[in-house]
Amino acid sequence: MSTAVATHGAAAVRVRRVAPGRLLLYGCAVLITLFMLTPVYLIALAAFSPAQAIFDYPRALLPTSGLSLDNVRFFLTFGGILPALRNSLVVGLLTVVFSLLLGCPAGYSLARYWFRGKNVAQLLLVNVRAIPIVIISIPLLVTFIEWGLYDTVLSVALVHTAITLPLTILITASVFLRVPAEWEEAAMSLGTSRFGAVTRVVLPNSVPGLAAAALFAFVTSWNEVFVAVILTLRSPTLPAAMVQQLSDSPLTFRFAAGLCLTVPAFVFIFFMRPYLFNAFGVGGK
Amino acid sequence: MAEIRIEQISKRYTGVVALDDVSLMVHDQEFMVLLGPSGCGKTTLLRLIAGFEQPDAGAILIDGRDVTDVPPGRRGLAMVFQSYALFPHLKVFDNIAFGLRMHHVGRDDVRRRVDGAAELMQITRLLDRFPMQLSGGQRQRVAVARALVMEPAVILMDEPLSNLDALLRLQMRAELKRLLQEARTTTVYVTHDQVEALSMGDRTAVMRDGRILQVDTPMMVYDHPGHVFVAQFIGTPPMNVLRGRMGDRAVEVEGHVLPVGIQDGFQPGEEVTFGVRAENIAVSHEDGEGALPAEVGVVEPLGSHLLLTLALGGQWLKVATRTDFAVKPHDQVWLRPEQGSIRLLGRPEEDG
Repeated sequence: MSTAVATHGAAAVRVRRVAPGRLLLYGCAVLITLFMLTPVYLIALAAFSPAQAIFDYPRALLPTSGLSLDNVRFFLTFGGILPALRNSLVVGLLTVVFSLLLGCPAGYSLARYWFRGKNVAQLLLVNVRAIPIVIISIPLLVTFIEWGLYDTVLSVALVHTAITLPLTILITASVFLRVPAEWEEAAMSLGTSRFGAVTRVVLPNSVPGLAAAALFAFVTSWNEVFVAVILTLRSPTLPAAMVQQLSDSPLTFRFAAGLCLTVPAFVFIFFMRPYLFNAFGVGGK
Repeated sequence: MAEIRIEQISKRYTGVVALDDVSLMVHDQEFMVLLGPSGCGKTTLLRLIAGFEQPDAGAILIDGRDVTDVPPGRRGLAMVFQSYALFPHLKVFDNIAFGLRMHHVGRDDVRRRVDGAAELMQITRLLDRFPMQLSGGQRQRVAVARALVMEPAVILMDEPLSNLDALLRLQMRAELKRLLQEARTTTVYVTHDQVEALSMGDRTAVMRDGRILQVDTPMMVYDHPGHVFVAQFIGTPPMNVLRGRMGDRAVEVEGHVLPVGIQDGFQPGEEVTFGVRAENIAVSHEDGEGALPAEVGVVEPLGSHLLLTLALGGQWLKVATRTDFAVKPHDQVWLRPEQGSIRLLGRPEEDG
């Protein structure tokens, strides 16, 4: 951190000497960040503004008309929203757990073993995503009703796992590929089984990659609407609940909803972020 | 304390023969070096001994016990990898303690033995660091400590010095040799560096194309190569290999006769290849009894000696001589191989 500050300071002193390529790079970074953050900012601004400020013209870009928690409070206390938020969190976390539990062994075998039909299997994995969920949604619905899983968070989490699993497998496979086989062999020569070598050496050194896989699974589940709408009625996830209510709710409600849908994903990413980079030795942990 | 018996091992990978009917006996407490160019099968043989790979045919016995189907951790051996294979998420102490903990050694014993191994390898002050924070030489020491702390019956080393810079390699070579002698552990050491093989091993197995060509003490491998490949792979410069015609207890080369004293099963009149080391040929400006005339091609002063590349008729050979030997290219000189220094290696068609 201190080195970063130091180099920034140095750059400020010699501002004329900054290479044009570097300037361009930073310029692009700023532009992309603005592009991504501006809508989020506008949604947050509207969500925290008093109700009538949303209809002001011209629209204020700063909270000039004062801040208010009314919209958000109204949204959160609206019937069914808090349970839906909780459902979404539970479904998201279940999806992360399921896809890692299933994806890690599959990714590991893709990374370490050669078997007949391996290339075909890898190709099919990606192609699973090409199957439109609309087509399988009705048989799925019937099956879940028969199993007594209809309208439960578990059913949504299972389908979300099926959606995320192919990419989870490919991500974990590439993560495990980057762990040298020699580390496993060293562990085995020191007395572990292959499974022990994986849990004691491979997994601890795969944390950043696995965090990325988890992040991907969570965000996919968090944003997924279609399956959640089909499979739930009284226990919807947050996106499903909003689909049901958004079209006939006031603008203020929609902005508050948008904010509440965005923030948990940001929080999740924020906590996962340190693990996305090399956790050991670098970054002074 | 263990001997390793390798019985007629074969191993092939999708069409490529890695090991072809290899047998080798490593005695208790012996330092055996597997030497050969890359792709000769030396690392495959080591990995088979370690148990990371299964042979297609043959058996591996450690101390009389057939371990061919025994997993690596139950063979009573430890391995030092070329890349060191330290666990990056564990501190040096925990890296060294890893194997002891896997074998359920008590906490106090772990502490004591790790401290002992660290002291032996002079890395006590590094125990609290992560491998990322160590230099290559320090990592090497940790890897050796991690193997030694297990007090294994057998230590396997896969080119452990090849990632060190030249000076450090020289230091570690002597230090490793001393440590392994003191540990009295049976050692199998893989290298492509013939200097390491000569300087460290009790015996050296020279390999090529999945076969062992010769197993002998370093001096025997150096002085009495049993194969043209061995002669040319070992030594700096490699042994001169020349062609000639067998006479009566002599070799005729480029119209000159060199007495060899032995016949070695060759018939008079047969074409033979024979070898002679650069340092076993005396060179002078004067003709004399039994001297061979040669023309100087290249003169290379190497500090300790002068290396001459000479043309003997149509064949080239290298000769080492004193640095005060005044000579320049195109000079005519006379060569006298030392008595008993000529090695009959085979027939030219067997050179392969």
